[in-house]
Amino acid sequence: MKKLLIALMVVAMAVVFSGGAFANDLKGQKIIKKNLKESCGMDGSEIAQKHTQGEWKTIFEAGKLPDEIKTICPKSEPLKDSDYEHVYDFLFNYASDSGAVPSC
Amino acid sequence: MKKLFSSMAATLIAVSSFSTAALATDDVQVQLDQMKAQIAELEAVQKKLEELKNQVMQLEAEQKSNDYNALKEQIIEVKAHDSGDNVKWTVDFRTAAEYVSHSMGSGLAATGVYNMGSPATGYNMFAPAQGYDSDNTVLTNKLILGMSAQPINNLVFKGSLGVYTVFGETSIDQTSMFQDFDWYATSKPQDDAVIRLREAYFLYFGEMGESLPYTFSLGRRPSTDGFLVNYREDNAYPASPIGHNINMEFDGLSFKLDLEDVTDISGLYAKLCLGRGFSNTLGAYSMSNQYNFNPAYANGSDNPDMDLAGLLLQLFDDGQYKVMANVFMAWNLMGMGMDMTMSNPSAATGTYTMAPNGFHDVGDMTGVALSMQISGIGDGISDFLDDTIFFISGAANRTDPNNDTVNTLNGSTEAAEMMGFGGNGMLGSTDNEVGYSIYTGVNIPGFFSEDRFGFEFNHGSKYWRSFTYGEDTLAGSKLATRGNAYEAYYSFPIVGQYLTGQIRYTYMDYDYGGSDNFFGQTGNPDGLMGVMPYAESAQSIRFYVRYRY
Repeated sequence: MKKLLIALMVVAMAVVFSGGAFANDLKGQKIIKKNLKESCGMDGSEIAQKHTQGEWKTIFEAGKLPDEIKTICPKSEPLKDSDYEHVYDFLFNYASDSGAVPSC
Repeated sequence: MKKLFSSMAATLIAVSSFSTAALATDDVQVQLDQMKAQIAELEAVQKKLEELKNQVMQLEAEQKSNDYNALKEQIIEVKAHDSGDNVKWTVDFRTAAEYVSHSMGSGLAATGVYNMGSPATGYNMFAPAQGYDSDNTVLTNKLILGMSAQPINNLVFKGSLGVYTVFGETSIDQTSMFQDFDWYATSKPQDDAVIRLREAYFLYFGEMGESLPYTFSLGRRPSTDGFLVNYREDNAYPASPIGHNINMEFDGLSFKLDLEDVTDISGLYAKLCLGRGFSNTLGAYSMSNQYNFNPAYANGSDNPDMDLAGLLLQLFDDGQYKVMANVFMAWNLMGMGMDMTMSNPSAATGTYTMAPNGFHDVGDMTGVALSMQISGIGDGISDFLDDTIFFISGAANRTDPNNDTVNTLNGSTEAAEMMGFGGNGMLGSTDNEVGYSIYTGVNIPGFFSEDRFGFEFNHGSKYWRSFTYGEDTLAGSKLATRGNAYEAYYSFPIVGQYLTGQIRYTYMDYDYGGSDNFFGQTGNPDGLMGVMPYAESAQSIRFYVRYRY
């Protein structure tokens, strides 16, 4: 049984090297909470509701997410370049047509 | 076209004038006729064009109508298909291999020969049980089906169904009377593949005035894998406020007031939680003897309702620093009673047996916890520190025993008391005892973009008692440890965020017995009744592959 356990672990460690990078909506939520919530006067889910998923996607792919955030939150400071990917992931996942159901 | 007609008309007039003014020859007449024919032809062409234009317009109108009808049909099809499907589902499926190992100490055997002639120290007069080591590897499947629905903006339903089972058939149902316990129905692997209810509650969102939002919730609420504990389970979001001292499945209600706007303290909220951990009822068709049925769902005698009230506070949360606290009171906590049977108590030697006789109310308990998490060390010092999570938490509990006798000796509670086997008190003590625990950990980026390492440590004192029966560690709850517990894990993506894996090592070095047990004599730091053997150390190595979407 121990051999089975070791074999499974080895397989997983090999597979992990094929694992691709992905953005993280939790990071996005934390970034929004830390950097935008106060200056924006609204929380992350309220910002996300400003657009549909398709609209956020178009904005992000056109490289206009910083401009859009500035439009929604005029008093906000620019984020780090590496933060926008995570912020986008959160905004997309909680967009107005995402169907995300809030919890307590 | 108009220009063409104009030029032709002008030409016609010119020619006509010329012919009138000059000689009217046959050639001129021929040319005139030809031109007239051309004009007629052109007029026919124009008419044809008008007809074509009308046809195109008609076709466009028909096409629009067709598109609309096609879309309408598609919408009807979708609505007919989804009508009544008011629940959105999520899947969290995990297959794991977990190696568990225990080092058991020595103590009193549950059955054997007694000898009153032996020196009356410890359990010398009874049969000793020698210490031994135990290890095993268990394969499990864990499936959690998440449900959610939101018919209107301020009303939500959430729920989850769970199956957590070991591979294949087992003899668990013959060896453990506490396996299928409501507190961890989907949090410990069972011997069957039955779907059990993990969560089901509605959530109402309201607002008092203009700046005091609140929520009210009732049902089987999320109270496992909470704040701080979520990292070791590789859950991005904690399912409940504090995992240090409460991590078990729970039925009750909550009322949460969001105080951020009225206090201007980032993230501040208070949540009152009320719940019932044990319902005093005999159920239907119970029999107190072989002749009479008891009234349906009447109450029993030894097990009053076990209730808990807690106040949860999020004191601060700005995305980087988060501080949470709870304080709770639990009434009528349960402890296991024992029946001891001696072949002849008046004889110097004989045989004895011990067996559990069910749960009893042993007293009340209060508890408190204060937890802090830092998501990102400093601000922009380095990517590594920005992506590092550190947490530290402290918790304490205080017992208030009722000191009822819960054991019997040859059927007599008085005899059990006389012999010192009464089983009175909580956690093996008839006094108010205080326990405490500290818990700290760090979660750091790994080699790639989304893999994570974690290291955790916790320490519990002699009378520490947590409500962490739902903790997903097969060797026993590490946060219940009276002693030191160490843990390291590595979580990694396999196929994006949808298929992930984790390997985790947990080591628990117990200073006392009774960790992760109930609230009466089985929680005695010196072992049941102060004489029974308990685990001196335990460890767990778990590897899993997990699909989530």
